[in-house]
Amino acid sequence: MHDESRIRAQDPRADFSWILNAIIPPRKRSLYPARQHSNIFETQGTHTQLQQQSRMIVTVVSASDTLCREQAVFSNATPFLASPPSIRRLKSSDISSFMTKPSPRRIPDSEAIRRHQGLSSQEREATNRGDLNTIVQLKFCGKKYETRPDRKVNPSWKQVIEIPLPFNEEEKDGGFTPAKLKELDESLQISLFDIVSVDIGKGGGYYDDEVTVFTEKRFLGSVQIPLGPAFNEDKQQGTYILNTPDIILGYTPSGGDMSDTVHEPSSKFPSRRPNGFAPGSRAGDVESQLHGNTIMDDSNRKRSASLSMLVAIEPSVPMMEHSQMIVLPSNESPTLSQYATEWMQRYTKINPCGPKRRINILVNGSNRKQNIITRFLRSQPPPPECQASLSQCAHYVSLIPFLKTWKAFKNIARHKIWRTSQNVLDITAADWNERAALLANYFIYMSQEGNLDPFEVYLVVGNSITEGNVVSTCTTRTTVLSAILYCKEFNPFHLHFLQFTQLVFCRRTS
Amino acid sequence: MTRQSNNYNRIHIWNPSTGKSFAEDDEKCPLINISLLAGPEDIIYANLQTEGKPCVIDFDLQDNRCWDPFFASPGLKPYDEETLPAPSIQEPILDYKEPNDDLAAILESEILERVKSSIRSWRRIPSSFNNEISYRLRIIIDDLEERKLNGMPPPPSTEYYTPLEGLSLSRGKKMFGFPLHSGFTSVTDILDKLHSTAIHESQHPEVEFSAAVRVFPYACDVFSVWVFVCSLVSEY
Repeated sequence: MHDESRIRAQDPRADFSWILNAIIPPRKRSLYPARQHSNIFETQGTHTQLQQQSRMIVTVVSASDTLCREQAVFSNATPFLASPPSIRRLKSSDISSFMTKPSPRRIPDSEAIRRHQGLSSQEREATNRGDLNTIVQLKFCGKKYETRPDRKVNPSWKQVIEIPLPFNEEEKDGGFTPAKLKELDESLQISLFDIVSVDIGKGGGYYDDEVTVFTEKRFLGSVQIPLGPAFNEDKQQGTYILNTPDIILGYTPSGGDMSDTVHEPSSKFPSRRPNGFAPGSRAGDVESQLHGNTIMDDSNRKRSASLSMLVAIEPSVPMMEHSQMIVLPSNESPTLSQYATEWMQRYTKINPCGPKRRINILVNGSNRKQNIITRFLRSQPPPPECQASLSQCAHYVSLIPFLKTWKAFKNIARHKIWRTSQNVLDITAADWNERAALLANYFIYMSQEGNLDPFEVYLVVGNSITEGNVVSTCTTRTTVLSAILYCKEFNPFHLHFLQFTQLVFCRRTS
Repeated sequence: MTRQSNNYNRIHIWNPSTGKSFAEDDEKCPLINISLLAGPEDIIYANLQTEGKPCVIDFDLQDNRCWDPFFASPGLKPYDEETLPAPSIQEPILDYKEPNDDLAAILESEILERVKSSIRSWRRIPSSFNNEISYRLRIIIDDLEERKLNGMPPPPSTEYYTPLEGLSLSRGKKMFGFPLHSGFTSVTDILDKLHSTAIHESQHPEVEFSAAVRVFPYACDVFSVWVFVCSLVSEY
């Protein structure tokens, strides 16, 4: 029998490689893994293929700026119910003394009993620190998917969740196209929950072996992502800000957050009222005046919890060209519209981002004509009760119900129309563009008429990772129909392709 | 190229859908690819920078390498017609309807009824509602609305314990709850939102709920709807 170690020791080269391996360990995987090409969705793909393959891949990475659990919610003057005085917990021995034989439900294993009796020591420790035990719940087409819980201040899940895309069985013979995939009218709802273990055993009246611990979900915030943007690009990665309730009883903002905003010079007024709770007091008016005069509304930058995520569709859907678009007659002079077209063509050539960034400054207005985008901007007075500060205007505009013009009138028109502000207010519904133009016009009014420091107002056109809240609403139908009936032969795909979000942007001049 | 880091020359980006504003250096701004800026009186600039996020790009509009101006574009022959600026097609004066207080009161009671009955039907077991606390919750909502209107941040939740603490009913109770705020589209939308918060799924045998609804009317039948729901359990 050979002694291998001896042979190896005799071989000088083998010895040498062993030393080398100790210094530089062999590489376990290549530094540059071969890129996996995602399947591009074939237009000719059959229905069944598509149904089997199509899925949405959501990678939930982490969350930040979450809250902390509160310790004592109601601290009473008298130390409250440290141990319940009147109700004594029933012990197994009490029962067995009355019974001839022990209860069949009793578990003899004392470990098991202790396990059920209360929270584990680790849980107690975490609860005392105020840490959360968070999960992310995804809801899509009525089905729910959850990540595993993570017990950290800034939780990180790094979990991949695959969600199959739903398809109508009726569409079988119709043949599938990427366009139909894009027409899916669903949004992904993402909610953040805190999982709390509640032990009701101490309340008394339970057997030793009874399970008295259960878990509860506590809502911390949610966000809705319409599928449009995820379809238009291969993947959508970014930080999604959750819509969190303004306050959550039982939770406090985690400690580090406040320090960020305190040093801002704009927070001249105390962010917390000195006398605590005083609704409708005059102090609020003084603060609002103070606030109205400064444009830096940093104080309303409350740090909302945010989730960093990646949403992708597999197989990826190729971009749709919108070549069949019908051009409306222009409202501008021939020279101007020609100049605008030339300018846009030139921009397409020199734009460093390629097809990802497109501009269109000739937009369709409700006057059935193409208008240059600046025709939608002018000073317009906000409602009389909202003229004190910029945040009042923003509050008012954000409350106007949301209406995707093309979504509400599926069979008639899916083209993007900019309605005028009066039209928006008459039917009390607006989409992103109209809201943005309305807010911009209020801001222009405030910059001219209000007694604020001077500032410039711009409308920003661009892509955003989330289109905000998508709320469908019913309106007085006749009003809208008269405005958009004419565009019934528009190419419906165009809209899905250009999903812009406009945001208004102000710049303060010195 | 210097970035305007001075606090008195800051840029704020407002999201009209949420009413929130972001400073230009805020990495969490949902805008990821700015393509165009448009101002009144035919001010249009197109972004020529490779980056599109507001926290990375340069907002110096005079710089032709970063922003391509519409009317003085260096690559095109100058536009020489006198028709500018193009007159706006927007109305100079907007016609506002008065805030509808009566409808707000009707909505308030209707939403509250629907919220209570929905929580009961979702739970399928008898569920009690505490009315004394809901009166206090209404006061909290008034304060929150006022803060929102004035652009002030909501206070830490501990500040609101003071009005809730004195109640005999809340003594020794552990409270969990939150307000949901939105514009008004339909009651079903509000109930859907409430259902997704899973507050009704509490399995505690002695859980008690409390709900309060406030509807603030604004011009042109725009409403600000607050639904405050909380659950109370005894703390042992």
